[in-house]
Amino acid sequence: MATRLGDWMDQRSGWRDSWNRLFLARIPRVSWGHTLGAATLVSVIVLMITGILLTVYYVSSPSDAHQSVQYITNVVPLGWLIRGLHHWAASALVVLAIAHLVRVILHGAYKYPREFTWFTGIALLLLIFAFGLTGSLLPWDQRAYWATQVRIEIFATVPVIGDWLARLIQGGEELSGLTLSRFYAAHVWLFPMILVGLIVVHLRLVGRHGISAAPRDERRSRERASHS
Amino acid sequence: MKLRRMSRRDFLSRMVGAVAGGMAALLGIPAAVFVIGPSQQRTAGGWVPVGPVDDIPLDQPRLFNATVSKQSGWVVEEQELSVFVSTADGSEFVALSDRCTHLACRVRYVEQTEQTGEPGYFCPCHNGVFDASGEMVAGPIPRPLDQLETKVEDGQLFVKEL
Repeated sequence: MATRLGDWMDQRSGWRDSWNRLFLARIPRVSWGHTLGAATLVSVIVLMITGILLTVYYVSSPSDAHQSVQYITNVVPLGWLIRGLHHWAASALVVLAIAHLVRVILHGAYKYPREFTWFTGIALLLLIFAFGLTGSLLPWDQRAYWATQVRIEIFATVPVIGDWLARLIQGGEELSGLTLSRFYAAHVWLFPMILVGLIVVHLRLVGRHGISAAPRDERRSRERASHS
Repeated sequence: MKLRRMSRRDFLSRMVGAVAGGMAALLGIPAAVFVIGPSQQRTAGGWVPVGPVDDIPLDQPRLFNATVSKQSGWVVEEQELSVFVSTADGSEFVALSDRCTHLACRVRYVEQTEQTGEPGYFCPCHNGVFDASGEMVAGPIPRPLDQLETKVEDGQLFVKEL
């Protein structure tokens, strides 16, 4: 039954082809370090699911934000879990993304023809930091407020356009409800859309070039080729 | 019993599938619990003072508007509770909700309904008609007007929220 349904869909969508290319592709000898990219992707998926869930109860207005977060944490069943998963997956994402970047550097996997994959990866890393900046203000407690204050001061130190930039980020002269509102908009609309776009490009490029072999394996296979 | 031999590849891909399914359940079940959340909780209604019993005439019902504070989530809201209170003898009271049982529009009291010529309640939204005791007369209404429990304390009439 399941096979027949699968066949029916395959004739009309060719999904088996995509499935095989994705999950049954031949890959070089890989190390545990090669799993870091997938682990990063899993944290992103967890963040998207838990993030969408949090918006069910979260309200991004200065009078309600803090209370709605308290409501999620203390009243909604398993709210502490969903919020906790979002919080810790965010921390894990930063660690995993950087570990993935270090693995790519150590294996020289950023080199020709994968430079563009590398660029999209760097853009993704910067975007993750932007997610962190905007997301950490949303609980709207003392820590969120003052930490964001410091970060905006850092933006204000940018030469020439610093003041203009800080006002743009804050949405005005000081950190206020307007800041909360625009951080929320960026965190749940703008950034996720850019994120999904960049991830699609990043993964398509990985599919196009294949997984890079570890340097020692590549050297060995080149030596073998030159001896024969 | 015949043991079917399973290839190493089959076994591993099934294990991967099982782990993926387990992870999906681990996130999916809490997600459902979270979204359903407190939506299914019912709070028992309390007694709401609506006004002095002396203000209720014997010949026709009087509309009382009381405010009730309701906690929804972290917000406490003032809501209006409107009831038609009628009495035949000044000691027994009948309180009817002014919400039509069809789609919760507000009904109004009329001296004569078109159907019976007797006093009753009329809903302007879809021409629902109830008689003076809240029973169904005409229109798309599914059940009689909701009746609220009443009690009198120190000359003050209380109704119990539904």
